[in-house]
Amino acid sequence: MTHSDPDHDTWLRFISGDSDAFSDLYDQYADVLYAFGMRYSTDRDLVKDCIHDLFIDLHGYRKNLAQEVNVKFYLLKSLRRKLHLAHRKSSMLRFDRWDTEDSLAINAFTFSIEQQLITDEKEREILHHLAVEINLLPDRQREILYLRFHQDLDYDEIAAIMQISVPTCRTFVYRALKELRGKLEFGAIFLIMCC
Amino acid sequence: MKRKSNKQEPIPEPEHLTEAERVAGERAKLLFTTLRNEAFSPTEKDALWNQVEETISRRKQRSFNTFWIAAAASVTLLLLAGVGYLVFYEDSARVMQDVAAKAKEIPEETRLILADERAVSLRKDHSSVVYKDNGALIQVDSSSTIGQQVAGDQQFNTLIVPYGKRSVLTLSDGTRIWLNSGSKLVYPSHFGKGQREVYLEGQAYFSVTHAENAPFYVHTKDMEVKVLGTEFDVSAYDDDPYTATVLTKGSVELTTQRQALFGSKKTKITPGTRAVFDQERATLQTQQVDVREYVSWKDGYLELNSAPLAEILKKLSRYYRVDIELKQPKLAGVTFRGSLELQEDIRKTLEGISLTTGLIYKQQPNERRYVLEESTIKP
Repeated sequence: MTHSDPDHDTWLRFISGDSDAFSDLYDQYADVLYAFGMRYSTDRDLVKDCIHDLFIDLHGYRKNLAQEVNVKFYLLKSLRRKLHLAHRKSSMLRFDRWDTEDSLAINAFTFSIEQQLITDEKEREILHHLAVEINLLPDRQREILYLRFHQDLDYDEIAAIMQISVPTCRTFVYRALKELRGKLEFGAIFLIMCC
Repeated sequence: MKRKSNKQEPIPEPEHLTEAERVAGERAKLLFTTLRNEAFSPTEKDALWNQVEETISRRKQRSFNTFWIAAAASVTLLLLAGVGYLVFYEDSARVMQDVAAKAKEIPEETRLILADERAVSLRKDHSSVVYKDNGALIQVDSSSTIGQQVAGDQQFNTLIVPYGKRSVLTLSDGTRIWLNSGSKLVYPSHFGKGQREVYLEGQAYFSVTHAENAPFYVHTKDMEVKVLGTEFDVSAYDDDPYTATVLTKGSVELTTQRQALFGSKKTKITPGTRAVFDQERATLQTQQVDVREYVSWKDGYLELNSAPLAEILKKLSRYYRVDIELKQPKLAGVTFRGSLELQEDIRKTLEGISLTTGLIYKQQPNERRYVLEESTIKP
């Protein structure tokens, strides 16, 4: 939330009614939002629709938007809410499912552990293993790791996005890391045994 | 145990984390930097932006319209308050409809009602009304002249033609309107700039003077006809289950159910086309027809082209304000071809029918009732 941030300037220009700033805002964030949306859905059109609606809302309510805000966080949060609503609507229409599980789940991650990036083969093996373990974590825990490590959001922001309290958010991360560590130790032993 | 107290420290409550957990955290963090993101192409990105812009401009348009609807609503309120002024086009159709509804009583003679509620009776069966001097002077039956105030806001005149009468109206722009029996026409006492609008109940033939910048609108209860300059017939009788337009020349644009929330439809028709709006099914159908069949009434005859007898008699009873009964109901569907002269006296017209069909007619003691029946003597 630094004020010299050019992204934040765009935001300020946008809420003061500058129409160029609106298209700048779209240019800056559309790709981020699309990538983010595709984490939760596989339906490209649905994600596009949600981004469309998000920008329509932004434009419509621009006079009432807060000035002091982490723009990326705000946009991600709004898009996730839109995706959640769309998801709930579509699952309400599906009668083949009886469970009331309507929460928005994050998709499995595809990591690309490049040889150039990590030269140590053993470390690479461990990372491959960890990648599998991360995908085996409960959805909510994986989502937190993603928001924290990939989107660089802080706990307050993550908690706000996921609609949980900050302590709960911390507990989730803690539990996730504990789990990963446990699995990793097991994996490491497995690796050592193999080598 | 070493602890990082850096702001970027990913670990919550670091004091509770073990070294192994911290390392797992660092590794996870590293992994997440390699996460493959789904990307959309620049084309897709631009396309989505265009959609956003389009939606916004459409919403602007809509809120603009909402503004005008609100404006029109306040205008209507003023009208209800008795001001009787009209400045806004969108609702003038409804205003004229209200004016028409006010003139409930159907007079014995053709009647012209002015904006100041003066009523003028026109004695002739075929009367004529001509507006001159931009509507300030009205010549009635080429004998008397009436003056009316045309300055200021738009006000309406109403011409009511009862069954059994006809009238030809010439408006200040030169447009001629033949009003058939049982019709009511509401029109502005003078035409303002840019728009010419009338409201019709019943049947009328229009010969509209061409004016490129001032479209002429004929409103009926469920169809609106828009023209620039052309000739056409509109039939919108209350006791018919349909509203129809027949085009003689030029082109017209029809809008059906303009006041419906959904389903307002625009259709263009070409000469020789008859467009019929079916009220029950709310559908508009067009067909190619022999135009004379529908417009010949204004020239004093009926052009018949396999017209069912029931249909013909319905027209005649409107034209002459009489009741005509068919003794044998099966005759209703018998069709006729040819032209039928509409004589001054119904009896002469009925004689014409009798001659060509072999039916005979009888006048009932009540002189406005006739019975048509099969002749017992075969010709």
